[in-house]
Amino acid sequence: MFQRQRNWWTEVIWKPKKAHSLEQLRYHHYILTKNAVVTDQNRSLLVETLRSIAEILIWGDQNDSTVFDFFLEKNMLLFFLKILNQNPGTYVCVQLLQTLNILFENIRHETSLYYLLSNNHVNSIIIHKFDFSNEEILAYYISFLKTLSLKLNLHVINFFFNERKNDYALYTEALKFFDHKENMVRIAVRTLTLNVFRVNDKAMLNFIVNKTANAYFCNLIWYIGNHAIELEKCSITESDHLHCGRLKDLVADHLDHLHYINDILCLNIVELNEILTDFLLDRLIIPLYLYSLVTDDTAKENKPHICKLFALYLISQIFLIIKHPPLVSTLTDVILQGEELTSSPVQSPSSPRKHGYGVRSFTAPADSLEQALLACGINNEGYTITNRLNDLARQRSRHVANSKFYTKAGNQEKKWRPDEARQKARREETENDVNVPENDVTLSENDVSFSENDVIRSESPKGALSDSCPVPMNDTPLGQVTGDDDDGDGLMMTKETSNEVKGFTTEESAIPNSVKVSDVAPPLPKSLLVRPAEFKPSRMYFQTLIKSLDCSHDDREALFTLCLFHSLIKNQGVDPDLLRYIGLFPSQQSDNYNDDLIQALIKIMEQASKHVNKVRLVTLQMSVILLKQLVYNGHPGQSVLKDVHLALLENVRESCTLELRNYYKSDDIFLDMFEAEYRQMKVKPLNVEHLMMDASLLLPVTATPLTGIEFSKRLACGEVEHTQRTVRVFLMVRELSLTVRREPERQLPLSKVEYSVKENEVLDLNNSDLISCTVVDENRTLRRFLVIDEAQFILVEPDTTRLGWGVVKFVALLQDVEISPDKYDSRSLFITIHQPFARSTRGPRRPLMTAKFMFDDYVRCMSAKQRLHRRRTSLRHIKLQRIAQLLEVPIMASPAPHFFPITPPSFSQPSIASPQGFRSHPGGAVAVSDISLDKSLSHEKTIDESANIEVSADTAMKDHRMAAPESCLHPSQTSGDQARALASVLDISDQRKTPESDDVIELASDVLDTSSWSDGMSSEHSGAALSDRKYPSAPATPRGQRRFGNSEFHIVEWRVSDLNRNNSMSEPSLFLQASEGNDLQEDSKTS
Amino acid sequence: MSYAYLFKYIIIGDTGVGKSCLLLQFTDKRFQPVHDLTIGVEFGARMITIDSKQIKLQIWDTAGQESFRSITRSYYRGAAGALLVYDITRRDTFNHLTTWLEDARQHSSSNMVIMLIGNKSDLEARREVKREEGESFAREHGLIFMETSAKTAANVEEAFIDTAKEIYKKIQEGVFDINNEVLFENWFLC
Repeated sequence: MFQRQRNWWTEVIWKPKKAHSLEQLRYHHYILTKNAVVTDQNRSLLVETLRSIAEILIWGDQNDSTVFDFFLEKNMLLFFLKILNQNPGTYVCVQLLQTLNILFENIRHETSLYYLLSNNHVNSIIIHKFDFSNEEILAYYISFLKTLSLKLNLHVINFFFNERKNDYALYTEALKFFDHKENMVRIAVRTLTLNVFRVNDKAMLNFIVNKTANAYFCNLIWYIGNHAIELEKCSITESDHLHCGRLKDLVADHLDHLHYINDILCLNIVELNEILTDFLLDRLIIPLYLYSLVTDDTAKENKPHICKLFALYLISQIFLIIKHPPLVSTLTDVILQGEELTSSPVQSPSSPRKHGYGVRSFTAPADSLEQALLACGINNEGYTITNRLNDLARQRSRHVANSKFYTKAGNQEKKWRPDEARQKARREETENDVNVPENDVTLSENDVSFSENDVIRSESPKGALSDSCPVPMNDTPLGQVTGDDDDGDGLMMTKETSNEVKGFTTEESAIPNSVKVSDVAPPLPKSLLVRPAEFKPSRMYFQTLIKSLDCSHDDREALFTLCLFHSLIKNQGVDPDLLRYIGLFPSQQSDNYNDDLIQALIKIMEQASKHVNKVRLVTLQMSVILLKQLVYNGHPGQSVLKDVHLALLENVRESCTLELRNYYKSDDIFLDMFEAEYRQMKVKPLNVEHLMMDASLLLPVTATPLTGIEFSKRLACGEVEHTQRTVRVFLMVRELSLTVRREPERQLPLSKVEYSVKENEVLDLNNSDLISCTVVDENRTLRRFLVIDEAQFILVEPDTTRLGWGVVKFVALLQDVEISPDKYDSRSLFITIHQPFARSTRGPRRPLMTAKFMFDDYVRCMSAKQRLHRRRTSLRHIKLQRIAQLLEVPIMASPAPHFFPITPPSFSQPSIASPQGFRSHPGGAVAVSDISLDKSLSHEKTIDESANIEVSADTAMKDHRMAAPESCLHPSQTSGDQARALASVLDISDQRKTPESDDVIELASDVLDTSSWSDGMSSEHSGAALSDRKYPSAPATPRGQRRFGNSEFHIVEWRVSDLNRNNSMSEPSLFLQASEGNDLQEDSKTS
Repeated sequence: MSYAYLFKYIIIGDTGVGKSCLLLQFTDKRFQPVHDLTIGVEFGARMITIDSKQIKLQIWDTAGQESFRSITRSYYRGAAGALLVYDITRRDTFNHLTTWLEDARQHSSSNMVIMLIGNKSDLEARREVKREEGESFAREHGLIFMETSAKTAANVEEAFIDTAKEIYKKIQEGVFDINNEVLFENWFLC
């Protein structure tokens, strides 16, 4: 302990030099005593003092325990309160809250924490009426509360919660901000509530359940419901896809609400969950969402409602997010079998529910949250501050400061109660576990254990009863808990619905743990709903859902309905018996599924297969997923689908194939699209949850890509997208058909050799063509051998253990390889290897590899380049044939390697098109056999010539690259000249007619090809124009560099010029699919 | 106090990387870092000036709330900027960045500005993560990168202000919708 060496006045003179010390704190204490009244003059001083106190206390907590002793002895928190009570203004308030924040955030010693919390000072600060219109104060205040809530546990709970006085300021004060307009404040409140619920203190939970749950949940649910209505309104005002920011926010907010509710439910507090479930069902989901599904116009006037589309959306979100069995099972029950009341409009007079239909309604809470809390008897008086300094000093060593209002005995009582609560919870859990398959028993057990409190609870939220529920304390379980320990049972909250069981009076059902309900319950699979014995299921909602699967006008409702069914089936909380009953449970027997639903699903597919339709890809995909879910369970064996449905499905498949044949072209662009679609289908399984987060689904369906909406979520726009779409529809329906018929996939993917080699594999490379090269990328230089197999680009390193073998260091698909020559070094190539699927996915993605490949000499360089091309071409050819087989179109005559007659360019084309005409020639140089380097070397001279030309052609191309696309359409005369010169070289070599010369031609053509086709839209464009003219059946297929996703926005700009040049609209837009000009020559040859 | 914009930040990363200390260091300079004292806060606000405009920064630490999905979700969505912090003396905190980033990308607005911060740069001797690694991670994922020290206050100012500048730039470019209440609510504008 400190020593009093000095008097007060000397202390003033002696200001301690050390920033962190007990002396410093004493000095601050002195300042506080001297400045008890806040004035303009001393405000800054006070703020600095408060700040320093925080610093010293934390320092003390970490370094010197005497600091806290002093703090307590002087009761310094009381100064804080005194300052607060003078309304000292923002500056001081913020500092004070910050000091408290820092204290509670940084204190590590439990004892220090107890000191701070003792004497109710903190509670007094919590209930202090700050100026909450000041956002800064509010932000600091709410994070103060949040910080406190993070410290809550069984040891400190009694500092905040006073059972006898119904006082839990931390929680109830925070609740008042649950609907604050500031997002971060709401989040803080939610965090706090969750932190509070998670403290496993029975008495506290009793308080939460009995005193605050009604008020809070009632208001919360009203808030959520209004949010939903606002959401719908917003979709009308913001129907523009480009400006729907607010709609997106509202949707995301709504999802936040559901996640929050789910987080509460996941804490597994039985009583709390029951209240929340009841409120959700009776005051939001059923009356607002479900009734909106079937409400006709007449009923709309007097009831709040939302449109069907939104109702479907919101309900499917519930199933996606919330898995709490009683909630989702009950909701499923109502959806599938109708409500217990509405189904029989004529109510038997004995029914305990006099309000009938009106009981479930979406109405405003009778009281605001604050009023409701007051009405429940929440303490709203301040705290008597007792300075029990001496006691505290004495109790310091005991680690438990019981200075709040509790007697010692009270504390002891508390000690074992949580244990019992835990035991009880555990017992209930095991009960639940045991009864998982048929949890009816457990549920009904809960159903009928009544307490008087339940009556209160079920009445207070009713909008009809305007008077709130002033409950005498001793009437509530809480009142009894103080005396009787077994009262925990009284907390087993009951379902209001159980009231409906005929012949059950409240008195009877008040017997705890009665299982009578099970005796009279109808044999139907049931959820929490307890239906009268004469109950007739109503399929009203279910039929509505089936009807909304119709896509003849719009598929938005269908999409949400599909998602609803999907999430319903997948939801683990839904009682499987319910699903089985209606035929929604994945089964092996064909007579078990729901015919209506299956038919509706096949109908969607049928509509999607039509030439003109309103079905988006995503809707089709969902229906495929759902159908598989219903009839396919992954087991091999017979098809579950009934013959009639199987036949329908096969018809759909047939019409998809027919439809695709209309679009089929044996060209590369079609192949690319086909493969891209196939890959995408395989690689990206649809994530329903992510899909449903997309607010734009709520807006009218659009076709234009200008909205930025993903292709699958809109209709096709233009020829390319129609082709793309038809391919995808075909692939999806085909796959589904194979799946349900349990047939293995034999024809896809088009090439199976593509993944034959893996990295680090050791290959026998004897007799393989190896090209040695040096790979230079950003960081390093590597010596490697390049191997090009049927479909792969492989880099190996010699295996040190076996001669002639190599270790694979890098593998990529040939089709992802992009080559461009190095114009300064004829021995090098720049090779970029894209990520697989890069072309079919959006956004820039880092290539797998970008490197310069240096070969030993020019010839090897050319040879490598050419071989890459050739392998690619033959691979493509095979693939195209496979597609033809798939579509059952006659296989086109194999475009055997042949030579086009080489004619002088001047003869074949007018000058404007001369480079194009020229380009077609080398196409003849398809070499089937591999070129070996030796062969090429024997023609060095020719190669040298062409190399020269390459250089000059390159210079010509420089102009091209810089030119705008329009001007590129008119190639300069220079390049025409170059082309002609090169042609003559080719001509010569062609005339030799030696086998070797073919190679030379090919090499020369490569040179040409690389020089004039290096990049840019211009070349692709003109190339396409050319092939369009010459080979109408085969539009050119530039590929590679530009990815589809990126080029979408170019389409519009381009089309104008395209239209002038071409009669067909399709070809020009096709370039945008595409890529590397290098392929052009080969493309034209394959056609 | 009047201001033109209110930017809300969140600060994310593994526990113990010094998030709350960074926050306090930035929002309250009166707390001088000293060797025998570690102080942090979960919330702080400060006014800065960019382009002669007053901008208020509100920084929320999300620590301790990871167990509730709804909370993390909402936090991400409410923020215009995020500071993703790792500790250069602990490799594991660096390895977890991908997970944090995935979370952030999944829940936040796509425009959220994310700054990667390698904290505790004063502990050079115990460094486990090279500066270059942080840089290349940032480059790969399109983040701004900086190494800071809450202890010496090195780069702390810059980290927060550069993030604000980036957000401000996005606003000028019209990428961010100012009317977005969630991100830029300025109901105390006067």
